[in-house]
Amino acid sequence: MNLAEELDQKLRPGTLAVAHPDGQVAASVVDADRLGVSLRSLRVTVAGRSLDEAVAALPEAVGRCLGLPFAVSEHAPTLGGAVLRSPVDASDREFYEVRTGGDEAELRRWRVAPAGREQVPFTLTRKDLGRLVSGLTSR
Amino acid sequence: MILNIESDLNRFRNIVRGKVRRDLKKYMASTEMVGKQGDKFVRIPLPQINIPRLRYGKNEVGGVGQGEGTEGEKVPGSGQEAGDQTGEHELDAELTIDELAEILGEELALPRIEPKGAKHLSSVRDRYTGITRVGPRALRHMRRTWRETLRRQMSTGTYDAANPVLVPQKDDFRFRSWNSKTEPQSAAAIIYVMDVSGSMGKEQKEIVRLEAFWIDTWLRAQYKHLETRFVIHDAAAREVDRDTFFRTRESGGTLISTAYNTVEAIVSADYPVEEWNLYVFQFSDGDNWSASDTKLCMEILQGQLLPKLNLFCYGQVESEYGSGQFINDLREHVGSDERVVLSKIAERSDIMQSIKEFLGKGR
Repeated sequence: MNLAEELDQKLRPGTLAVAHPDGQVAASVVDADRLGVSLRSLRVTVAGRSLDEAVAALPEAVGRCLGLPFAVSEHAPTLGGAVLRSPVDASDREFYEVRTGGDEAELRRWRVAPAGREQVPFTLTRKDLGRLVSGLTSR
Repeated sequence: MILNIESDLNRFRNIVRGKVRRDLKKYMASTEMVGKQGDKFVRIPLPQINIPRLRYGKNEVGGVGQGEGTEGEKVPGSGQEAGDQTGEHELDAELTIDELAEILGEELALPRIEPKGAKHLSSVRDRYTGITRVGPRALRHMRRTWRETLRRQMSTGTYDAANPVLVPQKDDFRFRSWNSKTEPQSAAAIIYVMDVSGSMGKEQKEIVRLEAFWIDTWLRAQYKHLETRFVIHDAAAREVDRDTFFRTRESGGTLISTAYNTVEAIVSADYPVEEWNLYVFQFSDGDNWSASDTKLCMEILQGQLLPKLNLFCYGQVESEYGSGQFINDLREHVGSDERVVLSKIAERSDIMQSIKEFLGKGR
């Protein structure tokens, strides 16, 4: 059983952490059913290497799973991290952000608000979540 | 009656000033004026000024060029048809930087700045206010020369009122001469700091450019010696020239502390605090990379930078993506310091209010 399959089995509302030889996943789960899962944040740690070397390939890997074009907004090799963002959705004024730092990548969704952005939960199918985790850990 | 051209010129200037005053907010949000800035003059576009022109009636008879064909018939091979609307004329009027600053000050009700350090700096100015007996012919003062000639001729009895001929001699000649005057002057340095990380887009930079132009205009009117320095940063900071400052876009992350360290180094090296009025204007989308760097920023600001500055202005240019957290951190740590001014600039129309906030303290 790989990391994505192990995560799929443990998805319940609340905070969960899954450790596997391929890496680790920490997630804040709002709700989960047979088809999908609503998350507040998802942090994936890959085993034994830095994601910074794979920054150029990350937009495509993440974008394919979430169905949105991602772009590297900021990349600071000296800081060992990058920020990837999807475009702001015209209807709900929301966007995804992936922050990488060392061997970690964290996915959140934000809503543009007059007083600054607000974090909002996001929904993925179990299949897409599995593909995203596998995509990140196989970089 | 012959009117003095000065009165016409003054009337025209008043019209231009009135126009600028009315539309100041529009001009402040427009790049037209910034692009046309000279050293001492600013060209103000005055659109849709109708120049009077003569209109001729229709001649009933033929004349030169009246060949075959009827009125309105297209000339063969003439390409596109002519438009049927009048063109838009745009006239530029010149305004000095000082006049522009005066209008800005009046409209925004900006207080005059009280500079420090005037006693330490002075400049020598030469003005032609003196008279001497020797000098080059180009500086000959004719009225004084004729007066001296008249005085001499009257005192020696050679002046004939019936035949008033004045013949100047060598001793009668008078020449203009300069007096050197030492004037105390205050000096100021502005250091502009801009976040050029990947999250700062084109529009954000344009807002910074406009705001910097108006701040420059106001401060130049307040200080004879104004030095301007530019610092850009993403994850690293460096000093650049003006052009690079406004054009550069990087893709790195944002470490604001690097900019503060660079500003501190510039101030320490070039501007003794007791002689210079120092202003720092920082612009960012407020999305610093980490909380630990923000903590470092506050330490540099409070411990090293703020004690040396007249004013520290932070303008947060709004970005859809950014957290905008940095202005909140500044408010929490240094917001109560009277040298600190914080302003949020959501769009171009906020520039006027932001400048009022920045320069309204008169420091």
